[in-house]
Amino acid sequence: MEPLDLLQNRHILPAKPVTPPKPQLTSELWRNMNCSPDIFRCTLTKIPETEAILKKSRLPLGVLIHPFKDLSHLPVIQCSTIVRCRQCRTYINPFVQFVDQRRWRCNVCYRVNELPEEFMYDPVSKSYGDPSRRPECKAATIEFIAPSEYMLRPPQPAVYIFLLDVSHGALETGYLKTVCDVLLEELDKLPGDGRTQLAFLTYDRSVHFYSMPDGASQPTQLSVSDIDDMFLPSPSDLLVNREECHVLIEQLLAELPNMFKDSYHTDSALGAALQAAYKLAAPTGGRITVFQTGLPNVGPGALPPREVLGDKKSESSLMGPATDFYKKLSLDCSGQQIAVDLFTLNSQYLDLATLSGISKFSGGQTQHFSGYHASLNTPQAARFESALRRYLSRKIGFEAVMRIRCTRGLTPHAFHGNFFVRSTDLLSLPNINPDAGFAMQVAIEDDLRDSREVCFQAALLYTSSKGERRIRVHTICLPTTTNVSEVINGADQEAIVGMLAKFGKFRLVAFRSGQKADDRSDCIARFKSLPLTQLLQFIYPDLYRVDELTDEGALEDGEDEEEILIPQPPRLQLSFERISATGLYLLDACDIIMVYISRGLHQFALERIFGVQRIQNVDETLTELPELETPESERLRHFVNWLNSNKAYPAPIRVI
Amino acid sequence: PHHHHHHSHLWTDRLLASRFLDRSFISSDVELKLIGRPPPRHRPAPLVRLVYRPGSSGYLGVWVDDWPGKMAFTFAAFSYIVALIVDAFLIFFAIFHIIAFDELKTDYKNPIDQCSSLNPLVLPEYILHVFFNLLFLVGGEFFSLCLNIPLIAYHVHRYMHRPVMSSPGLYDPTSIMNADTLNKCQREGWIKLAFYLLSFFYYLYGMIYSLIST
Repeated sequence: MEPLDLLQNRHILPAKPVTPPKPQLTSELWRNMNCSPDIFRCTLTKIPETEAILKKSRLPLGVLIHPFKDLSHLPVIQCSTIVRCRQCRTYINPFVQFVDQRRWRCNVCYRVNELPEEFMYDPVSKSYGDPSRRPECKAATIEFIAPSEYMLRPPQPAVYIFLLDVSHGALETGYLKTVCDVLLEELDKLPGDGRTQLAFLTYDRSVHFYSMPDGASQPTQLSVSDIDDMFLPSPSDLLVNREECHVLIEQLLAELPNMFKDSYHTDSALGAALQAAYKLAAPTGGRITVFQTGLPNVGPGALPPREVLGDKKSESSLMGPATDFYKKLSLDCSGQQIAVDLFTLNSQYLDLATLSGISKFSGGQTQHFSGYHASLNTPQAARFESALRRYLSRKIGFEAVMRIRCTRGLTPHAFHGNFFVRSTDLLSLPNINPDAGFAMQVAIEDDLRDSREVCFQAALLYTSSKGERRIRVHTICLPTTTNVSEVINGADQEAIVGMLAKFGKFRLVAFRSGQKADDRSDCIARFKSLPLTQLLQFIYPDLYRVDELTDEGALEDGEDEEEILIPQPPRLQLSFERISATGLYLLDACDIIMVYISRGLHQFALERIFGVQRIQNVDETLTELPELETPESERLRHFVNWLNSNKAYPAPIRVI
Repeated sequence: PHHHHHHSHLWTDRLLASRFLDRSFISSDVELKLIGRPPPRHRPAPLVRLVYRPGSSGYLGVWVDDWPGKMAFTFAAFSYIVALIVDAFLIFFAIFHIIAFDELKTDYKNPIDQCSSLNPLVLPEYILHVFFNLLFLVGGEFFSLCLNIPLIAYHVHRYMHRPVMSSPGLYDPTSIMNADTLNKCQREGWIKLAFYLLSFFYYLYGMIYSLIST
């Protein structure tokens, strides 16, 4: 390695996206079978053998996991006994050593275990033979269908409760109509089966329940104003079966936006509404979705307005919670297998640092839409709708726990993400969703001198939305080394950046003073829970020059009938010297795509892409690129679609 | 010089006083008078009385009535006895802490239950510790007090920087399951145990010294 002078040589950003480094295992077979880096990624692809070597390299050791990622190909196994190590309970995986035909050595605790009879049978060729041909030993990511020993109680049905803020400020933003419309459309796409149950609660200064008994002609509203002592007004029919009461639910969703048109209550009793929802969901567990637009100011969990703009002293204390009401409620929810997801759509301070506590420990997710307004702030409105559609239709796992095992000598040190740590390696996740990423810091306790490889195994036990108990197992294998420079050479830069972000060492947007406290809390929360690829785009967005797209080096996408060529412009470093005054630039910042039109952009490009003659005529409220017949417009749109296909939900465009 | 005790509620027993008072304080011509009326027979006499002598550096002494052996001791000795008893409790608390964190580390108990059993002990420990140090202060045992002042400062600092929680306590179940935190708290438990154990022997020595030297 030669030293690089960063001032002389500033073009260090590779033009093409960086591919993650592959761990160089000695066995070719193992190298190909290793877990996909999208799912399981370690900061170092060569693990140092001792703590001293790790300290010398000054790099963090940790793993980033995206356990429930949507996969196109997932082998699912159903067998009578799941083969696990007797001592450490590791699942059998491709990286075990077979001592002889009937025994295997666990790669986590090195104990030799017996293989059951059925394991010799290879279901593919229907013959007895080499146990390493079994699917469990050929795939590093695998899903088992769990027998009843893995169930503490019969698998729960899918339960979804929606809490909607109907205070005056909330109705002003116009979010209610959007939510009700999207819910109406996606009602049947909510994952679940015939047992799926739904409930709706609205709240301003009292909490309103909607009773939908079987055979009723319309839903009835029941209001509870005693917010300090919340109770459920009806023993049944508040949480109703989706299939049986489909018509009633549709009626309710159509009526809701009109019901509160003339309401002028400005108070918001979020704490009481959460307590009510908790009571409703406690018998079964499930998911509570909260839409909040302002500071909750009455009832339990009322928060004082802590942010005083311009007051420098209080800025760091605003990042911590004001009260532990939400944290405590979150722990209670976690105990009953309830996760709370929070959507905050606010223009004023709503103390996200305290409110996000409700989702942090209950395995939920907080999504923040700053300055949301349905008609005035089109990018945020488009982003919210996109995100909501994805949120409602994506896969979900209930009453989940995740355990991460490491080879003897390594121990998990700290965990980052939204969950509750029940014991040193067991994470309690009332809900698991495909957009959740976790990180684990690892410490080297004993020297790894005897092992040439170390393994990490993440096992996620969950109940699918159809009531099936499943275990998803991911295993990654990494070589060890005694050489410090090998450790440094094998470092995975992107993973390290992701890891540091999760530690909270990144003070980028988060601590720039003058930023709103909620945006900063949101940044911190996102750092902790985003999976790696999205996190990297969030921290260091990709910048492309798009006014002169060519077909040179384009990707071919033959899926549709016509062959679409997707242009691959090189990525640019994020510095203003790269922006020329005559270019059109596109910035991909994970959840929003910004298109920057320079002053001197040629009129030709303006006409071909935006359909206008002059810059001033470009519509700034656009959220999608105009669909023009010109080849430039087509190329740009294909490129944007390709960028969007790698995301969880398509990002809106914002024109600057 | 004629030394008088001016508190009207005090009365002395001449025999008792002459046996146990430090003779250097009282010259032979001090008369210890019966001041005030003795309490009526049916009302039990106070078991312990504190006598303050104006001009001296502290309490003169403690008289104990009805004590079978008619034992009496200086206030300093009394404070050491209290310190010994309280220190035994503190040692027990420290051991409880060590065991609790070990149980958390080996996944024997879950953090919510463990924190709910650890948190109620935190403030009582601090208050008890401050209590016998106050006795030291009042009894003039400044060296023992100085030994404990760093620990008091540490307790105050720890309590002021605790995580946001509505109930008294230091331990939060959501942030406790971190290898760093667990190790730190266990180390704290061991250090406190060592400190309390050493100070137990020191108080024992102090008590014997103050008893003997009367």
